[in-house]
Amino acid sequence: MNFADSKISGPFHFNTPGEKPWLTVDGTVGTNGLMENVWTFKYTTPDSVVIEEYRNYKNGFLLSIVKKIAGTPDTIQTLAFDIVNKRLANPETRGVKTIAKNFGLTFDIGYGNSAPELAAQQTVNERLEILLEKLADMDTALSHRDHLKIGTAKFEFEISEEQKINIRSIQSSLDSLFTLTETVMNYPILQINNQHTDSLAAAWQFFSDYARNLPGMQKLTAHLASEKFKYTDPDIYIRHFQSYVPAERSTTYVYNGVEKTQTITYHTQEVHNISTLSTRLTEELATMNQLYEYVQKEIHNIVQSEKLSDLESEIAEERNTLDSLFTAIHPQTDHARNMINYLHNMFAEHVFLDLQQAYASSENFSDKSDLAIEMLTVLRVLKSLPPQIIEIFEQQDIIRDAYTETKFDPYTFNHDFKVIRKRRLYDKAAVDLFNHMLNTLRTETDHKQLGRHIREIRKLQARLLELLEEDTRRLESKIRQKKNPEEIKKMLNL
Amino acid sequence: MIYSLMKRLIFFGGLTVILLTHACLYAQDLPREKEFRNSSGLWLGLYTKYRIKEKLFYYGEYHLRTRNGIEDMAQIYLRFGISYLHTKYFEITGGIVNPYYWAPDPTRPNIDKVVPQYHTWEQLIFFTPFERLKLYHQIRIEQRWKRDYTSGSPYELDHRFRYKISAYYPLNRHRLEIGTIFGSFYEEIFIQAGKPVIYNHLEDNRIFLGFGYILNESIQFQTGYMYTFRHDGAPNKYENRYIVRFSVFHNLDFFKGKSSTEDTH
Repeated sequence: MNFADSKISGPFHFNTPGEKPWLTVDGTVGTNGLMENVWTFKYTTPDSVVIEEYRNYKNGFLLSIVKKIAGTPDTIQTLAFDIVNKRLANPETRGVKTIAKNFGLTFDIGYGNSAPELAAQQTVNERLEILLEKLADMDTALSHRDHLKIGTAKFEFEISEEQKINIRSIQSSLDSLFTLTETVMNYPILQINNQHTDSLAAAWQFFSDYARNLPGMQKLTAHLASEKFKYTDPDIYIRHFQSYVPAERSTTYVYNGVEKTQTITYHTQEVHNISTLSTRLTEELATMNQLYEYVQKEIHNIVQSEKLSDLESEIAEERNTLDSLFTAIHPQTDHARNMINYLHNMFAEHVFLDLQQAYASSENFSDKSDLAIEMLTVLRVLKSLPPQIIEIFEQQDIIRDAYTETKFDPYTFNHDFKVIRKRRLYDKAAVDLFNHMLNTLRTETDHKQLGRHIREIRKLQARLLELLEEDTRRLESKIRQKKNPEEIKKMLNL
Repeated sequence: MIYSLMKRLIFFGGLTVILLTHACLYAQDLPREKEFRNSSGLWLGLYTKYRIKEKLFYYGEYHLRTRNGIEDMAQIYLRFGISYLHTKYFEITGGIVNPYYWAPDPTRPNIDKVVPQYHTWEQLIFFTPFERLKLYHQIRIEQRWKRDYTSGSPYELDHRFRYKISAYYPLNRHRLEIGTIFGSFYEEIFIQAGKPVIYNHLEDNRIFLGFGYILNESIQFQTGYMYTFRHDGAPNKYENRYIVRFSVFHNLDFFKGKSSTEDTH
């Protein structure tokens, strides 16, 4: 081991016999501790095979690795770092320059953790790292870790404006894809109803599969946008995306207990740089948007279908309640009973049946929904009718009693001779107008108007009770000539 | 109590009158052959009863009667009185009558064609209600000053005792109220007495059957057929009368207070 300016430099030979892990190193350290020329390492594998490893460096750039079993001509691995050779051979390449900076033992210009270029370096680098730490511990003069820093160099790549635009496009596409996927995956109605149709089951599975890809792609993309990306070879780094963007995506799903497969083939099949990745992700986003629209449409259909189903259940329930109610009601008077039965027959049978037929023949959700709501309204209006009708007739009895007084008939000696007070008013308002209003109620075919008719009748009844205590002689005199119900109403201030 | 006493009085009084009548008839020397005559007529009547106090009523009857169908005028009969509703089911009435009689044969010489009479009268009515049937007992006593159609003939006083039992039965309702059509029946026996009455004590027996309708609280109608059997002005002569009657009953309440007749028990 040699030092220059307190930093390790020149030939580097070290041997750790008897220690574990065992390693013999023979190499040259250049400027800034960068590894230079051929480095030879000898070490044992966990199964006690002695390996000889030869690495060829040039100014810290690793050019090749050859691994052999010691004492034999058997080569177990040969790895040439062609791209590095190529870039070093063309130092004038635009946008690429070498950086004579020590980036550590592992030579990585964007290979990625699972890349063979990194895997091939792993064993020696780990042991050499331990060795250098031990050396630092042995001599206080070397206590500063930088004195023993041996490492590799990197290229620095200039990111063009076009690349920056593409990287932003990639990020944007991935963000949109993430949002789309997350939205779809979080539709509770879809989670329950994804077996609604074959296509929906396929779409649901496609989104599920796609959701698993996204975190990996997002992680890779995060590096694209980081400051460190300038030390990463884009041509190498882009390869990491390739497993995420296959030429076609196949999704296997189960529908009705049968396993099926659907495949989407992309127009941009080869992803070899940032530009093609951007194009491909844009295409994927377009495809996913189409799928999303389909899913939304299906969800809409499901929602509509469920809404109609809910309405139908509600209608059936209301109908049962109504029928039970009408069966259970036993009004005191024939008039009330007849009116209730008539209205029930008119609306619960005829009007409701017409709506039911229109509902059955309608295919449009909006029309169907409107009809179902109208049917519900009819049933609810009808449900509220019996007590109101009964009350009207009971009130009419109260009015008749209030207008009735007992006199003595001197001819028949009837001391309980019932006579009506304010006879003309009573006949016109409490009999003629009341009957006219009842008839209007009975002949009404629009359920929305029933409430209005009932309110008018109640208003008349309230007015009749008011008039009982008022001086109505003028009114009685005028009203006797009136036959038109509207005129009578006007005279009564209704 | 009063009602019970009156009922007894009517029963024994009526019985006494009938027995006396029979005794008188047998006592006379009657012709052996009986003669019967049939006649017809139309009686139109307006009855009024106007309440002026809680228990007090003005009573009026205004009749127009024809004979020989409707060819000849027979009578205009004007009866006035005051009624007092003593209890719920008992009423007393008294007043005057001023009838005008048209002579049956106006061509007869030396007669007045129309002769007025002057009566005073008293009346008791007992009312007996059943479930639907209403039964009325009416006793009427009249003091009549009347004369013959012969011009210048003097007025003489006689007495008339009348008992009428009448019944109303509502047909289309359970009770007599506005809008009720009811069946109406009565039979009335007329007995007369006094100095001018020699042989014809049983003046008349009237049987009526008809219908009534209560139009409103003030107006009722009755129409029907009346058969009467009576003496025809001479011994052994009898008349069967067949009369159509149409009557209007009008009442008004000037008292205006609500009936409190329940308190008059």
